[in-house]
Amino acid sequence: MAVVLTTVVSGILLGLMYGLTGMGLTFTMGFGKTMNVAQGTLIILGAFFALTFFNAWHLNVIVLVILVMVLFGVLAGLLNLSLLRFLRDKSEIITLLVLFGVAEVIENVTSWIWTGNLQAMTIPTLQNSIQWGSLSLPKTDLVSAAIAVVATGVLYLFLQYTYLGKAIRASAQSDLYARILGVNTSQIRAIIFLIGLVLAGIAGVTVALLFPFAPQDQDQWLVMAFIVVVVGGIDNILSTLLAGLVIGVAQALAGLVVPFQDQNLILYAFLAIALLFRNNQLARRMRSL
Amino acid sequence: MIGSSAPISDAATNNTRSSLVMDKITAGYHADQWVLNGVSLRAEPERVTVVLGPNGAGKSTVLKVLYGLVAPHAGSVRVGDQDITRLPPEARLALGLAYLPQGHSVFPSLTVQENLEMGLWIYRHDRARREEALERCFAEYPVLKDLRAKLAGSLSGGQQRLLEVARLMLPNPTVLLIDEPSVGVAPNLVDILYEHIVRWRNQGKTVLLVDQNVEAAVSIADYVYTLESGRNRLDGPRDEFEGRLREVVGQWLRLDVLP
Repeated sequence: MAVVLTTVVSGILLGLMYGLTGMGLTFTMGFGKTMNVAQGTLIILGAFFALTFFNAWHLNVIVLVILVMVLFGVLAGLLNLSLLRFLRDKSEIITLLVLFGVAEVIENVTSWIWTGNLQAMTIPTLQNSIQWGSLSLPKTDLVSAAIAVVATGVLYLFLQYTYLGKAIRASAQSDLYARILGVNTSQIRAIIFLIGLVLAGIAGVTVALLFPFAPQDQDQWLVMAFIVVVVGGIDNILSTLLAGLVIGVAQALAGLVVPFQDQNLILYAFLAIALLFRNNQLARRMRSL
Repeated sequence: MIGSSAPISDAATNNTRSSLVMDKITAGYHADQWVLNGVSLRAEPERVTVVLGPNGAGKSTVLKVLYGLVAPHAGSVRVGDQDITRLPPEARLALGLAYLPQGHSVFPSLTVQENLEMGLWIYRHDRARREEALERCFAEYPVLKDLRAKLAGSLSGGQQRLLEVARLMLPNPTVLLIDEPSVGVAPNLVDILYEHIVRWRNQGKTVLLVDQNVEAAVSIADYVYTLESGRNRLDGPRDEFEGRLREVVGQWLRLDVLP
């Protein structure tokens, strides 16, 4: 019984982090009508940023997150100015292809700077666990889950209660009607892209906290992000977090009975089941975008 | 002048009675296939100016050019004596223009209150003005105050129409561009809008109405323009025009039916 409880709790903690990896993708799809296929490489890039800053200056996690957010904000600004500005009026498929190119470039630059070897960020103060009754919770898991919850919470409050957040929601429903009310929707799209990138960077820090990583791992995180998006839908960022949580728990429980090397099967089974049920809904939403 | 109690009338202090002029506008989406070919028209304060024409005549494009949603290839647009040809919608709103598009334009998954706040987006940095405008709006449409926390998508058709109208009027515009009020909307809701249009005219506002419902539009019109294939055809005061109406519309019907 204790084993199951431990498994569920660690599944929840890991699942919240999974939800965070899908957050940027949900956000850019749901609000920005753009499928950011560079999400995986961006997450890995965030992980390498975190690793490098930690090794250089031994910063604490909060400072690491803020620093990565700032850098990803700058990166988003550069991409907006250099590429995406010219894609506003183009079809979604062209944006998709360009972002695919961006992903390739980032992956290669990452391999070039940090090599293709598997690396890990080890923060000595976070290497032990917190004992709570019969539960033993690794600090890294707790910290990354907390980052996911805080990031989602802040984003939710921003969307719900700030003027800019309301304009983002309005533009997502109708770009034209928002423009008619004076909203500069191309600016709004640039902001949405920026937020999506910053979320990928934050997710990257949690990847670095929890797993060893290499540039070519980007596929794995892109797939994870997609699974989270398909399970959670693109309407609501809270359901994205919830989807991550469900996937985390299911994967952890499956780990009790399925051999380690087959655990990814569970993820794909989730994707298949979600697609069976949500297929029409997603297709309708994407058409209406 | 505008209404009785309008302390917020400085949306365009100098333009409270401004006329809107479209001068020889050529516009469209592909060169050599212009939707508008040198269209000119003029809408005056305290008048309902109606633009009529068969399908594809370019009526809606006229409004889009006037509001800055379609950039013209040639020609100019002026409000008062200011050239606004190249201004984005946001700047035109600030000058007192407002545009009501076809169909239902509320944001269904925003609340009524949020929809209204979006109507004040151009005053997002001016809280005092926003609160004042909202208060005025709720005084005029108490039903919206009761519904403010509801999602706009959950309202009845009539309530959504009211919300659209209230949102349109929040920045206290002086020039109203209204696109096809009878397309895609239940007939009883169309009447709500015609009543509002007459009221706005009586308040001194400049109203430019594009409509397929010829009879209803002409009945509230002061001045009528007709377009055909992106060119001016006839225009004149309503009294002069009414007699020729049957003949002109008869021609359009044949145009619409024939390939």
